[in-house]
Amino acid sequence: MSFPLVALQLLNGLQLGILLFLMSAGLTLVLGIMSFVNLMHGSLFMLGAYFSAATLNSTGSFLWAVVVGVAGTLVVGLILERIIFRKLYKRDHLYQVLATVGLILFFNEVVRMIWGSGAMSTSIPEFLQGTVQLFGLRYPVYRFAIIVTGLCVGLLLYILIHRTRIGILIRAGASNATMIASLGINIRRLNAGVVGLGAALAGLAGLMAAPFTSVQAGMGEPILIMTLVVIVTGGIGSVRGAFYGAIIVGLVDTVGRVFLPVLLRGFMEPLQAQTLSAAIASVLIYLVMAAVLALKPEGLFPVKHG
Amino acid sequence: MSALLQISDLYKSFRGIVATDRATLTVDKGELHALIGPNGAGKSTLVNQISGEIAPDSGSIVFDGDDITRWKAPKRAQAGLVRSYQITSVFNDMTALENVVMAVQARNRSHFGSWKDTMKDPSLTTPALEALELVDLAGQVDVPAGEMAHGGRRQLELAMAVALQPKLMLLDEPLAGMSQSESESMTRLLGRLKKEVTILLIEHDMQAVFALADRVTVLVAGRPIATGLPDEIRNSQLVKDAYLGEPEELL
Amino acid sequence: MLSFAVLPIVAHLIGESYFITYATRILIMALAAAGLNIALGYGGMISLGHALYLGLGAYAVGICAHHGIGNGWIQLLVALGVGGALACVLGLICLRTKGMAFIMITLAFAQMFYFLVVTLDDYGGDDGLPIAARSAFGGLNIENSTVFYYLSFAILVATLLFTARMVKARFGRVIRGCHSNHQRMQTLGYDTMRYRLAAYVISALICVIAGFLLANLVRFASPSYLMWIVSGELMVMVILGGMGTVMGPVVGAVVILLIEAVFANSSFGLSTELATFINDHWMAVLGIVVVLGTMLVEKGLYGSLPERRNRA
Repeated sequence: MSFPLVALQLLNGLQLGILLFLMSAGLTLVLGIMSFVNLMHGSLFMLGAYFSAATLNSTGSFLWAVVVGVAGTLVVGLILERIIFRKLYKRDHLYQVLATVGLILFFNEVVRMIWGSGAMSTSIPEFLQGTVQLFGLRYPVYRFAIIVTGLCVGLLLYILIHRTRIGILIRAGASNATMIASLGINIRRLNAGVVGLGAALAGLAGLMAAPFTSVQAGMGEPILIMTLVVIVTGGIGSVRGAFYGAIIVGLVDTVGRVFLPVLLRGFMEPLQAQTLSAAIASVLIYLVMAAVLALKPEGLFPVKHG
Repeated sequence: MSALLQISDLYKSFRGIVATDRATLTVDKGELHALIGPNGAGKSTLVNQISGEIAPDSGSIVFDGDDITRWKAPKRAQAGLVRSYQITSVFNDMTALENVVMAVQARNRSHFGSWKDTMKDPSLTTPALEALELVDLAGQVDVPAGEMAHGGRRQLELAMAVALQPKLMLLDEPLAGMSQSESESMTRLLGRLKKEVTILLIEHDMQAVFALADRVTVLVAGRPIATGLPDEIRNSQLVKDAYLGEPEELL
Repeated sequence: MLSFAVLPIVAHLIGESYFITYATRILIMALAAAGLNIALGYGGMISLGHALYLGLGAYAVGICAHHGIGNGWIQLLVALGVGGALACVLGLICLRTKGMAFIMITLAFAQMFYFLVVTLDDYGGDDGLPIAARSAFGGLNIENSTVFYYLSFAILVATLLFTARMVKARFGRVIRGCHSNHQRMQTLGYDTMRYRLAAYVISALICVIAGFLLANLVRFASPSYLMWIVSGELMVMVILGGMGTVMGPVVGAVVILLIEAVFANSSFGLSTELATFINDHWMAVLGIVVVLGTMLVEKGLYGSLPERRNRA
């Protein structure tokens, strides 16, 4: 177990964590401010991947792929907010779950209608190919770019939330939604904005993940569920919770899968170790979530409600 | 002198703001003890700590000989400490009778055994009907609570509390939002009830307070500043000063 | 109320084996939906993870059969025992949370078990586990489709009767009270956790039985039974069929499965291209129906029937 190997896994874990953070940040705000259970958030991730991959494959331009990927999901998010979400904010979570599940079904089929059932492949743009020297190992440029991009977005989000007027509204909304509504703030625009922001972030995550995941119908749901694990662990409505939660989940999942077999082989039969570690690794993040919930049901960094 | 409820040095603060400031209060068995105070005095917080919905930071609450400070709300209700809410809290989708049956049913420990339809079980419906009779709701027995008028819902709230056969009723502004005639009815009702059960009454309606109370405690900024007979309180300079800006209330 | 339930018998008399199998499938899904209805419709617990128990029931049959245990009673015992224990544990963890968190956590745990099952290569892993023969129940030969159909029917009816009695009895009222006004229940003196957990476990056990039957029906245990989409489908059946009514889940199951049967297979007299398009992508139709249904319907199909509205 050399240092470069450990560093490699830590970086991969961080990279997964960054993608999860992009997904979680937007969704946790939607949950915290509008109290809207948007389960089709994973579909936005999928659309981001499809839009960008299709654009890249047909135009060859990475720039256009990014633009279409992010703008496309932003538009879809805003439209959905306007015609569907908005009507459900006041209703019981049950109906929000139902409607968004219906949307998942719908978008999974639409994607199959347009691009077929098979996986769409797309490649890493040239200028992001290759490896870079990091901590004594050669790490893929692309994955490193994801980490850097994610951290920058995180920084921008931090500035937005803690240093701008809109940010104050967002934080106030996460803490006490009815209060800001009664202050006469244009709540509709704020809500649309939050959904739009979440959609754009999901689209960004999707387009970044496209080259190394299987771009096909239904790809959004596994990510969605991991995102929910992050949010529940970090604390609903808390972007800080989303960040730390995502990093934790990303690291635990990646490191767990790689090192658990090694750990278990130390004191059991190789075949046993293999099966057991595969089983545990696949559910490790859920066990972590369960442990956090057992001790702190509101999550690690809960938003204090006024 | 037998104290049914003894609150000692109760303290509660929320992120720096002191809501309950070392409150000490006694409610004697058989009395109707009114708790009054200007807005923001912390009456709600105090009530929630007594009912068990908020945990105090320090201090103790002793009820009928038991230290209930760490007891959860259901346990307190089972022990006979029953509350009603300022903002009516009933089962809107159930009829008035179903609501009160829900309360009557709570007297039992276990709810697993029986297959009988509760609404066809006289051991449950009879006491429920009696309670509804007591609060003058006999005519609205089959009306869904969500469709009742505000006054009726407050009466229902009271019926549910009564149906639990409490030792102490903690009534949080039962007259809230009522018209003059509704208030008078409710005051007469409370007058009847006080003969059967000890009551700690939180109220703003001074007419009712002075008509009903055996003793009055005044809460200001989380602390009881005076306790005594109604006339003593009415004439106390200390209390008048505390109500600065709201002198009409006491007259 | 039971008029709906009579229809399957009539359909059966036609005798085509495909219909019997399909009708049995509807009965089984109706059973699962009826199970979820207890936790969700009456108890207000929005569990997106009930597919877990469906899968558990199926795999209990599969794994037992795999190890040579073909006796239906033993398989059932294993299924209910493990299912009940798991429901207790998960219920205790999940019920400490509420609202959105509860929904998300139930979903996450169901997914966790999906992944767990997929890694069990010994039991088929991703491909699923074929089951050689249906459970042996001594005198009752359920290899016979008709017999199996009636067994499923009987179990469904029994469950519906159970539900109908339960919701009016003490326990059922407590559950409904917890849903209606949880805080009030607590200050009335009820130990709400105990009763909600019981409702959750009962609800789970019914789904386990449904899974048991499902595995027998298709002689297969698949990880796909545990997928979130199945939980979602059950939820759609319960809600759109009529939450908190006894027959609602049955209506919901019938409608959803009929939509599938119709849109996935028939041609509506349209050109072959268009018809095939609809057949291939019928799920989009389902998705739209669900979304529209949610936006428009308050009480569900069954709850909205005129004679029910007058009953209040």
